[in-house]
Amino acid sequence: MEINFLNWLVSALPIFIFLILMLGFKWGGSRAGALSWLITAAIAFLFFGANLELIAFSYIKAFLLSMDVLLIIWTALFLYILTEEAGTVQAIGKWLSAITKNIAVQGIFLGWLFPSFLQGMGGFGVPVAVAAPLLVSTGFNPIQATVMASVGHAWAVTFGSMATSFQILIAVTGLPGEILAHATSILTGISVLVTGFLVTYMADKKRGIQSTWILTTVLGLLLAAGMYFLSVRGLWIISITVSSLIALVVSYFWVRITGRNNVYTSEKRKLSLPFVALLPYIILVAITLTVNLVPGIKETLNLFDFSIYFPELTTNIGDVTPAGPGRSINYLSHPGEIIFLSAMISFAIFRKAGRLKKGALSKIIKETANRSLNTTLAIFSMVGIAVIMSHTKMTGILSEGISIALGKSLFPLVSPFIGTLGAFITGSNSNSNVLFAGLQMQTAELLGLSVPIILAAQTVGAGIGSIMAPAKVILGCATVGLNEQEGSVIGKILSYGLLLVFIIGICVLIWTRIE
Amino acid sequence: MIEIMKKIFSQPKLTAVTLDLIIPVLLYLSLMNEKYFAAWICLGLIIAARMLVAVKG
Repeated sequence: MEINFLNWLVSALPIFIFLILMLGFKWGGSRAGALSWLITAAIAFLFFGANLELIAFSYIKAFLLSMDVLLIIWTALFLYILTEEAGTVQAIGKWLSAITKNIAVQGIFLGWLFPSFLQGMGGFGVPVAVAAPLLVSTGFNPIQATVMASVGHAWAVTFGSMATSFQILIAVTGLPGEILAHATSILTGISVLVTGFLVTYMADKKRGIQSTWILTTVLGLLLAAGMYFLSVRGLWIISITVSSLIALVVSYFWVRITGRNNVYTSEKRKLSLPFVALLPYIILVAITLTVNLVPGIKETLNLFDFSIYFPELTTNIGDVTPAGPGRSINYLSHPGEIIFLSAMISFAIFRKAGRLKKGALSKIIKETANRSLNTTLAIFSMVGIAVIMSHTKMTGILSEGISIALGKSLFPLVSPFIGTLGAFITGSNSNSNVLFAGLQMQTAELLGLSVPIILAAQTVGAGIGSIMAPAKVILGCATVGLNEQEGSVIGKILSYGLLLVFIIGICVLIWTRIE
Repeated sequence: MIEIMKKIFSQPKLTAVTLDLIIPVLLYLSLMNEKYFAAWICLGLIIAARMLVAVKG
């Protein structure tokens, strides 16, 4: 199809409509996604030659892609609710807040490391909801607490929630995770250092940075190195959890060792963390490492995969999508399977230890179903939109338009902001990746830029954008009693978040120049 | 029948998710076996469910 402004505008219409519904009409992702899917199908049918067969097969392809991600979302949420029900999240939080009285170090623990750790396990707005009240209880004002907890875990979103957003990036682009993990980990590594310093600045201004810059730098490098090491080896589902846990342990000993005679500890306390509180995370890490690192296990489990074949699809105006297999799901080695197994073992241990009451399992299952309903529906619709757009070459027209307008010199700087915009409006790194990853990939190809770097910019930018999303900010504000003050919190988060995205944009610009 | 319809309209999101989990299998089997009438009914059900979610929220 010929590229002109009108075609570009019609191709962009599904995205514009989705954004208008969410931002202008304040609809949730599931409702806006449902209507946008209908409109996308209608536009594809009327303007891009889609027929019923193409729309039907696109829907089935989207179902497979969605299931790959939903298996992780459902099981991660199940595990998180299980730990919440057993009281382990609260136990870890209280223990952390009792370690030191130094406010910058408290900021590091409760505004940076702990929310990042929670993001690694679950996400879904939980890091701010849990960490912000703890920050308030240690003396931070509610606005400061919400902003710190939000900005502090911005770096962890892409590989967080058991790497759901990253898994979507792989699914939508069809590129191997190991290739995408390299560039994504490097940009995330830059992001983790910057967020660390931002949190210490927010906690105690210049004095906070001056008193903790060595600790912040050591922890930032440790988090970045740990995450990179695990992600490029295919262990991205545990990369945030493991690196955050290591950083928490290191910072604990740092404070204990250096704290006797200096500013880090103002009073001596007997600190103890019940071992059982860490069990679900230890089990998850142990199973993931066993499956991925013991020779033969993953290979054997990978033999059990599910894939279906799709015929060649042609639009009425001659655009062809070649025949081939759809998304293959390794149902025994899938991350969702590993999370579920960890959850069930943890459940058995918690029951035996008396941490869960009778009937807890059905309560946890019901809660998981309730909390994941909207996300499930939104994912089905959003992935459906992306697949229809790519099959009717709407994504291609969009990319070509952007590449002509921005050019090779400007696009790398703008690329993370596109991801941020998508996540700010949809409230999710994953949704932004579904909406824009295909577009970013095709634009990078057209401009001759490195595709993994641009996709890393997309997902890292989207991760930062997700913490600025009004829905998440409202949730954070609600947990610390900040009613009607969401505007000022969003304003502060936006200023820190956009600074972070700009730094990422500059890094991408330089990296693509020297690549 | 009326009770089922009431439940569908009172919980459109649950209905849509349930259909999203069942219909793709039926749709694939219908299309691959060239049972196009069944396939278009499946597609129609999905469109109806999405419309219900869009209207009812």
